[in-house]
Amino acid sequence: MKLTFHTLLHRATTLAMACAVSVMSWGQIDRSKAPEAGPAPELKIGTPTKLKLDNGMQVIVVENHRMPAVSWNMTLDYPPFLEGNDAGLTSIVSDMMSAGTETRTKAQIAEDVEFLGASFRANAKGFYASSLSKHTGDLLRIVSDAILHPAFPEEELDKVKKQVLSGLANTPTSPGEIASNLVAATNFGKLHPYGEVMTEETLENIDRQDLVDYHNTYFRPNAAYLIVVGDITADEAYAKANAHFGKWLRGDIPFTRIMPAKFPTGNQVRFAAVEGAVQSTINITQPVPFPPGHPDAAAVQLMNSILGGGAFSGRLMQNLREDKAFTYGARCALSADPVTAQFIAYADVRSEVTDSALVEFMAEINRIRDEQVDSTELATAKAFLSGSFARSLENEGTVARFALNIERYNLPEDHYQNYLQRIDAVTVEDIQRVAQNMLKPNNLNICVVGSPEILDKLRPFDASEGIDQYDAFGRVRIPRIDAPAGTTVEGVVDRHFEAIGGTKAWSKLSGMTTAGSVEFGGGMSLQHQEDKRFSKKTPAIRTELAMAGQPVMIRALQREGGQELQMGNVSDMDAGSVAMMMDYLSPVRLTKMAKLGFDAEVLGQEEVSGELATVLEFQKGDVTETYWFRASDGLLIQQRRPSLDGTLVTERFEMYIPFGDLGLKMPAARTSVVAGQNMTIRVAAVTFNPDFEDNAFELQH
Amino acid sequence: MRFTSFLFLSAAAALASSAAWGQTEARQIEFTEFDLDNGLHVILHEDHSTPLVAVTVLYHVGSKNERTDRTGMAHFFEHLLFEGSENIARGEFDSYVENAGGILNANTTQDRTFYYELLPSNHLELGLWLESERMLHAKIEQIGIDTQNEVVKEEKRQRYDNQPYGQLLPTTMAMAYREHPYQWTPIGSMTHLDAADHADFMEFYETFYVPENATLSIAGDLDVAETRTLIEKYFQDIPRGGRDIPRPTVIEPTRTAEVRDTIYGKDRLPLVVQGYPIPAQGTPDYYAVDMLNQVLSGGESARLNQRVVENDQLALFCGAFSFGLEDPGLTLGFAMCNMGVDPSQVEEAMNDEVERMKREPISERELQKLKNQIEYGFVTGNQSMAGIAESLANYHTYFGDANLINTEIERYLAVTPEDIQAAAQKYYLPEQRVTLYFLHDPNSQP
Repeated sequence: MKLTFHTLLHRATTLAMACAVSVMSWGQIDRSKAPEAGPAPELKIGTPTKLKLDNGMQVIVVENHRMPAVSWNMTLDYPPFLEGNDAGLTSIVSDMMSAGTETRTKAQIAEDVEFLGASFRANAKGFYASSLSKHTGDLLRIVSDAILHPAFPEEELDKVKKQVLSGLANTPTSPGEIASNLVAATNFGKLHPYGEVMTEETLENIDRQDLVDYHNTYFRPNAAYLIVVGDITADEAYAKANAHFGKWLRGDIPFTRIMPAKFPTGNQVRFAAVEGAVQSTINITQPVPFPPGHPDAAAVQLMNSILGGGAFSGRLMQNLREDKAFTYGARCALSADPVTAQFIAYADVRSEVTDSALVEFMAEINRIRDEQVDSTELATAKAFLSGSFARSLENEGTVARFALNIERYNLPEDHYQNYLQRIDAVTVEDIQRVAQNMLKPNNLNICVVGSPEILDKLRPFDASEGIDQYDAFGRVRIPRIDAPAGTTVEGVVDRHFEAIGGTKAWSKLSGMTTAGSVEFGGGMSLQHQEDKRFSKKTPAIRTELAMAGQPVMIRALQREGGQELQMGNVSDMDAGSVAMMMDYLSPVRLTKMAKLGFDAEVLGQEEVSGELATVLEFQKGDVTETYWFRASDGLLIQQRRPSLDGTLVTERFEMYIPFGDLGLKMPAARTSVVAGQNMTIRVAAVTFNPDFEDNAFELQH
Repeated sequence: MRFTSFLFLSAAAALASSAAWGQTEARQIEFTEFDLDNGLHVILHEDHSTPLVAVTVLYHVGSKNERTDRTGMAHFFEHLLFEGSENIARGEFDSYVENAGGILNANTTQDRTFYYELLPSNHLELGLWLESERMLHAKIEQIGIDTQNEVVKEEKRQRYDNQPYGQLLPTTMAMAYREHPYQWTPIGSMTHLDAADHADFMEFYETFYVPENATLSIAGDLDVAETRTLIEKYFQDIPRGGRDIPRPTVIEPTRTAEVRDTIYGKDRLPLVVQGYPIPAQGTPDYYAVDMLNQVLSGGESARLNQRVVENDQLALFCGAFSFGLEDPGLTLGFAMCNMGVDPSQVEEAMNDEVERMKREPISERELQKLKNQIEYGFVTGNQSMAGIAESLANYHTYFGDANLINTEIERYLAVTPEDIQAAAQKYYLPEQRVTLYFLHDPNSQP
């Protein structure tokens, strides 16, 4: 049974009228089909009033008396420029635009605005201010003073710089920020305004005069659009704008030529490491020639939407989330930009599936170019974009934004009136054509922020030799360099042992006991004691973790086997784990790698946490172990080798100090990341060659 | 949340500034309310400004209704309820809405789960059909369980584990509550979700996803009489669940000694968090506490920002907000210290400002400022249809009075400077406080 909206409505109302208590059963409604839509409602797009002050400031007014409030939103339209050694200047200007005038302190501005119950936010490209209608005059007095007469007080600048500097300190632990720096730096580079990234050094360079010059140059009425929305007539708005901004003087705004952004040659993987990251932040991106008003804009928007730029039913979301469950969300974006647009496909995926996710991303980018989309997919995308357009009109500021875009980008006056028709006219052929024009699947920057352990898996996606690595601010990290001539595996290992007391002293040890603590990332701390017997015949290890003296985990093993006690349960360790721990036991194991059957190689030198280190790699079958020795003193500062569950674990060694009566040096702290959590083992005391009790290596004694 | 971008602090700040204030001299939000025989409560608001309609269903179940061995269930269930129904195949829930030009999503808090479709108004009936299918006979298959299990794990990694200071809220709640289920956050435990089986899901569905535990709230370009008829058509034959709906009765015992802890992680800047227990939302004292937080944190000129950030220059930001919940919640103060600043200095400055609230009532000017801020928020709030539908449902569910959307402001304006001072003295007690430092672990790598 097919029911239309109208028949349903008719039947339902008839029924409702016929009987006071309606008694419909399911038999009367067909639940198996979605109900049909009623006639499409008409969208009304209001027309704002456009006016111009004598000094060139353009005023766009949208009258709306639904509530007694008015908002003022000024946009300065000037072309972006290179900040160079002052990268971040625009951002600091933004922070300083309401930091005081010739007659008001920063605190006064905030207090006066908030006393009105109003809000005011200024930045380097304009401001937004809003209040109840009755406070409009008072608000504009403060706002125009802040915008036209900023004093940029030195002490406020110092304060802002101190805060921004603190904020920068958090960047290396924010995968999202690192990713956005990486995308900017690789898509646009340092010679493009979109590619500049603020660092501690460029922040330091910014001084008060830079701010004064910036304001003098770019804060000019001939570059300003003032959008007024709310409970106000166009005449009133014009009069108020004139009263508060009419005396503002015109000025010439410089135009700098901007170098066009370049595609990478071949796909390039750009990697920034975050130790311990449990997800990889993927951004597959490239610059795209897509200015506002592009004749194919509707088709490009639809193509982006089908690929993953809008609806939940987009291909990336359906593939990477709903089908593969790699991620909480996979999407893409491609918006017009007057200077240079960019395409980005992005997702946060768990580390293990980083390469599989890249395969799917690449497949989807290629598919939308190589195959025509399905007509139903196109219909969904059209419905989705039309719906978004309608929803955007719920906010009365939208019409003003439309008017602003028409002015700024010289769009036809009926650009938005005809938007839905343009969307409707797009064909599946158009989608494929624009996909081929816009997306270049062999010139992509494949930006990945994630755990260093995934780096090797990314090699197949990189067209060149070696993956470029970046720091948190999008700067290329010094790649691995050749070790000095004459560096040998034996020499590096010997130097380490010399520095900690000598190979001989270490190889003579019969055993050792270390006591200290283990701290976990969540804030938990446990006591840690470890006994080791190095005897060739009866090697043994016993590790105990305790909380307030009560053991929570004990592991004891000898060559024949091992046992674990956890939460009161005893279990046998598997033979592979026992063998591995026995293999790792010897304190001088690194001097015997050749005997153990490992091939060894000096890989070169590279930076580890800001320090140069020599890298050694040992290989046996499919087992790879890597060790980093600090170049300055030869000490082992980092190692990566398989752990009991087979995953590669990176461990860092810090604070080598002499322990025990022999004064042999050991790291007082060793840190690793296990299952996304930091774990630090701290050593407080060491006894060398202890006399072990007979039962010392039993699980419970 | 099923899909969202998320930053806890900014979300919290937005919550603090938006949730509180309703609407004053502005237009009243008119609405119609009725119950179906099966107990479903319906609220309709008619507004023809834009041809849109927001169809929403609020189920009165959140993470506080979960079993202690099944935490995360309510949120996980929210994901599962997009999988389909007897008449909607897997994946079609989204495509029906998107083909109609709409959007849909849902979110889960400690207290409730909220689903919505925002549709062109000629698709109102589609929204009703979808929501009635979800309520009547949602289909929960193993493939959906397996997929969403992974998706939720990714959501947790993205929003908590791989997020700077991602453990802030879970840790604070765990420290602040020992008995009450607010001790865990809606994301819950992944081990518990792995252990959940099909029977658990059906049990949860049949207990909580029943008409007498739901509010259908619709706002936008609709005709009330026609909509009512359509609602009866799709919803009135959905049977009552008929079971007792379990609600936690446990009362968090009053703390008698401050809880202090330090959590080490890789984030560089020290973060100080303070939590004080506060009364449940909607109680008279709650409004006083909320106003108090507005004095401390309502804007740049507020006391904490002026003192800690601007004058003492100890922190990047410093604020406070009431985390109002159905059962007694928390007020949270927080500060991210500037590089090199000892967090105890920041804590001291924060405590100092709290003590000042106890010592003296706020000035006439501060009171006037508060009133102006409340008035502005009230007048300019309630603009979107989705927001109105949600507020109406919340007010009905928590307080049994949807009209608070128009009148809650009176409760705020009734608060006097003396009430605020009294609230400070009654609730901001050091011995009931939780104080946490989130510090950088020097051994962690960047």
